[in-house]
Amino acid sequence: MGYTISEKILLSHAIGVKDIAPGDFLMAKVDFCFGNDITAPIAIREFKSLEKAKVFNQNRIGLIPDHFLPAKDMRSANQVAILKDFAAEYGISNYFEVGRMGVEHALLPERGLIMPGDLVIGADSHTCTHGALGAFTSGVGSTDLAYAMAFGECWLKVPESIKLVFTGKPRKWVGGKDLILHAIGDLGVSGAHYSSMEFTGDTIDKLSMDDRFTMCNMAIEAGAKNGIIAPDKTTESYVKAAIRKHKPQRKTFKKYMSDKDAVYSEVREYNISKLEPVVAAPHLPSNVKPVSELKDIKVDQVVIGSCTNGRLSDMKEAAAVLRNKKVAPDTRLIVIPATQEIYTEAVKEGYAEIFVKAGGVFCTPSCGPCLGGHMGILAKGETAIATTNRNFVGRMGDPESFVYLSNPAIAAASAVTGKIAHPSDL
Amino acid sequence: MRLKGKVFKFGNDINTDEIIPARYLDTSDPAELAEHCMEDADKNFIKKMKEGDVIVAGENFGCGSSREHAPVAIKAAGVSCVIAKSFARIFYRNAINIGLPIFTSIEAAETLKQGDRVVVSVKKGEISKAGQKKVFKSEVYPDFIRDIIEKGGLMEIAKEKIPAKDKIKPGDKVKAEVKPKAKAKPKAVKKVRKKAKPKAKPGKTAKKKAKKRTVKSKK
Repeated sequence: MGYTISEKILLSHAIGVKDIAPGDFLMAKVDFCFGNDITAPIAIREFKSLEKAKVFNQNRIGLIPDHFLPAKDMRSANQVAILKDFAAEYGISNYFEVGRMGVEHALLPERGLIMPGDLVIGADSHTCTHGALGAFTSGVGSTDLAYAMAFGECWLKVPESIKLVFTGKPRKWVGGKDLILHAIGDLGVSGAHYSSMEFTGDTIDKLSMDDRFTMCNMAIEAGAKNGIIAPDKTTESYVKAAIRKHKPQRKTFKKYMSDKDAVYSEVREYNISKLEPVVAAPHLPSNVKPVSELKDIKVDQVVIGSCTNGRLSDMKEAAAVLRNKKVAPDTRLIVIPATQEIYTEAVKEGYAEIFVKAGGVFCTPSCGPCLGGHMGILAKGETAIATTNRNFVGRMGDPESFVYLSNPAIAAASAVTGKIAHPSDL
Repeated sequence: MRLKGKVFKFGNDINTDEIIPARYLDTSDPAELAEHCMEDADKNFIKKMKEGDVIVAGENFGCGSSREHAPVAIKAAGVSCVIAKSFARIFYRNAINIGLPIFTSIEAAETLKQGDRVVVSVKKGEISKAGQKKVFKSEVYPDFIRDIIEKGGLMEIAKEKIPAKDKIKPGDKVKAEVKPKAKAKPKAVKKVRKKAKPKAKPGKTAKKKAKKRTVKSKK
């Protein structure tokens, strides 16, 4: 019997086993591991408790302060200092400072630090994002990161694989965010529990890398262990461009595909040709409704950014909607490009000017308001629509606030009307 | 080992933002995190619970973020174990890695009610109401996981794995293949921080220093 792409990558990295099956526990070699300003302090403390003289490989560890950056207060600043000092002490090359950084799940692929065929663990739940590169990438905890920094290994349980086949041409304003929200609405927040979500089909084949990252980013919201899209010409062009530009240490990669006789625990098919943009309503990412059912809901804040939709094409889409328009008088618009490079490009292309002229703000890369950190917290009773990935109770601020999740075009249109809207309403 | 305590019952999909909201993630100190345990699910939980009490929940407990702060807060608050119908996968591995006992049992999670007194045998994975014979069996851990739990967490296993030659020797500087320029940076940062200190209110700064010492001594 054949293997799925996830199984193949796990097997190629597993230590001491010749074949694997879902449910098996194994110890695997990791190609790269990373953490941020919230998760790495614990990992560093645990690593130091081992009194080990060296990390497993100084070039295969990433320390990316991005959640509460630029440091929002003394306590956050002290947490970042832990990462900075540790990087200096142990010679870790991939530490990213304010002004030269980005949100981790947009920054790492941009820099060519994660490759197709890799096994990567990150101390952040949205590590699944990088499956869009055809790698097995999964979110773990701080202690797992400490162990990986010491030994370059991680214990893993082989997941079942679920195949999601998307067919049809998406309508205007429908993108990766709508496709993944549609799937999460169908599966529920634990519908892909402990599974590998494999995205395939002609729709996926034609998706841009940005849209693929968006889809894999939210695999965790269905309870998945990882999300993955088999690498193709689109993936290769992206990876080769990143290697040319940033010259990472590793320049070669392996492409894996699922076997034709691979075994899946479930296969679901979605023909999305008639899908209209969708929105996840409070307080679960699976509470998905067509945008047409949610018009007239007043919004106090719009956030466009995050590891889900903070990339250049997201900026472009939002700018296309906001060009020559103004943000509604009772609404705040906060735009956060996910990396310094995206920020620079958005300025060059004129998107930043569009956002600011409309009456919105254009911020330095940060996770910021997505997790209720800083740069746009909600007051009691306020409602936001955001291109982020979670809308649990209190996610963006007061426990009595509300968050709707959408794609950039819907968020931008909502900023103009002050209510949940579709670009065609403008 | 037998755990005993009162049940605190929660529903399905209790997520990490409810267990430990992001506004408290500017620290990794277990004692500080414990003060806010379960705050956005039940703001009075930490006031009502006592050392040894048990959290019983529905499906998908701990869904959402990978923050290890979630099981750390639960453990540091004095919760002896979590029983649920099912656990979200990152929470599951984090709890095991830090030595917080967790048990998967649909029957126990459905039968136990708020306020019930329970007894849990960690080794056997058996749960029962105090004074009653009926035993609920938890899903059995694979050997691999049982080993981590029995040793007290993943770091205990890690410590056994490091040969003496790879350890830092007392008095040694940590060896790192780092250019001298990179090493100089932390000193520059420290200088800036020292300059900033006088600007802070003396009372607040003193308090912060005291807190730091407490954390270090706990290590």
